[in-house]
Amino acid sequence: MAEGKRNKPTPKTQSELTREQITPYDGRGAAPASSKAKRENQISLKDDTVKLPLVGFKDIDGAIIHYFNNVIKPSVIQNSIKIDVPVLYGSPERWAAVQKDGFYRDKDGKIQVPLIMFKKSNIEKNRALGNKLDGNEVNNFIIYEKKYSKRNIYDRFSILTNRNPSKELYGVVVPDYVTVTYQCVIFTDYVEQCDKLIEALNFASDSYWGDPERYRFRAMIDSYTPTIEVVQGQDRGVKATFSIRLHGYIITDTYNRDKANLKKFYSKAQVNFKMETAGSIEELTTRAATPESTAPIRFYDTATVTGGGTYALSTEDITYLTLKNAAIANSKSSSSATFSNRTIATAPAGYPTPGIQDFEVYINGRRVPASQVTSVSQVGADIIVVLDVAGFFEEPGAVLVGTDEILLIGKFS
Amino acid sequence: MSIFGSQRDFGLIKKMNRALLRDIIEQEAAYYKISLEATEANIYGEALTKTFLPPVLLNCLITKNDQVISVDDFGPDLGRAVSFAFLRDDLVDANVVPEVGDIIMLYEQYYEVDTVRENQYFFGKDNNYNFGRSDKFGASISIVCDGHLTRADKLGIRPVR
Repeated sequence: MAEGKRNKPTPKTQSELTREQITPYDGRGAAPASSKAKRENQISLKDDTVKLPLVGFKDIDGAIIHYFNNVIKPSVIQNSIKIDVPVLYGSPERWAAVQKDGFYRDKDGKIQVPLIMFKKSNIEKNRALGNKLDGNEVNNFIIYEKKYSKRNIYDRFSILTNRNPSKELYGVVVPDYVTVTYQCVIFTDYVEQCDKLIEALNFASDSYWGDPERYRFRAMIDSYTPTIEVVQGQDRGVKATFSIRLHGYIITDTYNRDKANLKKFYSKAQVNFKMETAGSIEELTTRAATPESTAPIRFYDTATVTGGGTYALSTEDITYLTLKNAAIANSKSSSSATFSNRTIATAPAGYPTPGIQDFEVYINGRRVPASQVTSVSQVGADIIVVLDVAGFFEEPGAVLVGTDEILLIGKFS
Repeated sequence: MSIFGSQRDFGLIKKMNRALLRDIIEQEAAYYKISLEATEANIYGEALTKTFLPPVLLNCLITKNDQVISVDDFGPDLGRAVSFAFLRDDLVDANVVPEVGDIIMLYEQYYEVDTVRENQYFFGKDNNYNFGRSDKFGASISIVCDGHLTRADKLGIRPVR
């Protein structure tokens, strides 16, 4: 007979497959990454006053300009006048270069130096510092809490009900770390001016560049190449080229970032129940006397064996399994101890004969490893335990002496 | 002995040229020479502060080439080459010896002299080098200075920015 129409199994998405691979670091609870696919995590940021961090290349470029203009403050002496050296980004638009930034030109548009120019020449991803793991669905983000949330308008009733407020949390994707290389040129009229500027830059190298109230990035300058250009029909010029290697990071605001990143979510509110007093000891005893605990047959007595049937322990089995006695040796020789009038228990049918592994031997309170117990045997009415005494004391020729206390624990009577 | 090209003939030509430059063409340029005594060069052969001798206003024939805009990382930059042709006797009268590196101001633009050309002789003769003949024949008529537009800021003659 033909089976009814069945739905084909839906293949898992890459996101679901990725999520299955995540193991909570402490072995408890759910995976740390929340899914944006869940409706409860799709929270609108409309009218939200919190601005999520955003770092772009413009911020990095701005950090360099800020550091040049406000920290290094490059200047030269020319004609006995101190001149601040303009810093400009390379290859500007013509109108901006001539009309807006014309302060470093004469009235006819002739460029006046000194000048410092910089521009990006290379952007390299740095995977050594951190990774958001998956651009389709970010798994690695930093969470910070908004100090005040409308959800937690303060009232004293929350204290009475012992309620921990819900936290308003914002998730910010782990930045993309990049190494940005800038190609820079110092353009001066004189070697002496160029040298002064190199000295200032060399001092600033390997430090963090940028506005302290915004973002700062570590910038390094490794080498400078000064040249003197003398061309017929042109002014003599002194140029020094160098590269700034800057370790930056990018937190973009592009659409795919917004789609992949969980931006806002709430923690779960908690109501705490503290210790309560139940009553007297008699009341507790009465409550503890559950039918299960007072029943003559425990749960393991009626455990169901796989495949059907009931596996019940006999009284003999239970007696044997729970048997565990202790005794001090009555006498001892150099390497053996005698426990007088003791009998090793006889295992019920189906159980293995008690061996060394069923006994624990202690010498002066220290456990003798099973490997150093040579034998445990029944000799007449006594139990004889033979030990590797030299191995136990780690001393060749060591023997048991009269003051040694030998303790035997195991299945004997 | 030459028949033509005497100093008397050259005097006529000189007067005609001088009248042409002063009264008809009427082009003037200020000629700046660096004061070597007052300007000290550092070990790199450069002076961050330059001192110029007082400028001399000279009539000249000016040939201005077109403005050239070159674009590089620093943005568009203006360049221009200009030739200044002076009557040699005017320079002699003003006690000016044109040299490479001099500055000529024209319309508040400053041109650094790249080349000094003295190549126009009356009848092709230089009266200073006549190899034993009479020094009364031939003469140098003009001196042409080719210059390029320079960055006025470094000259310090006047504030530019």
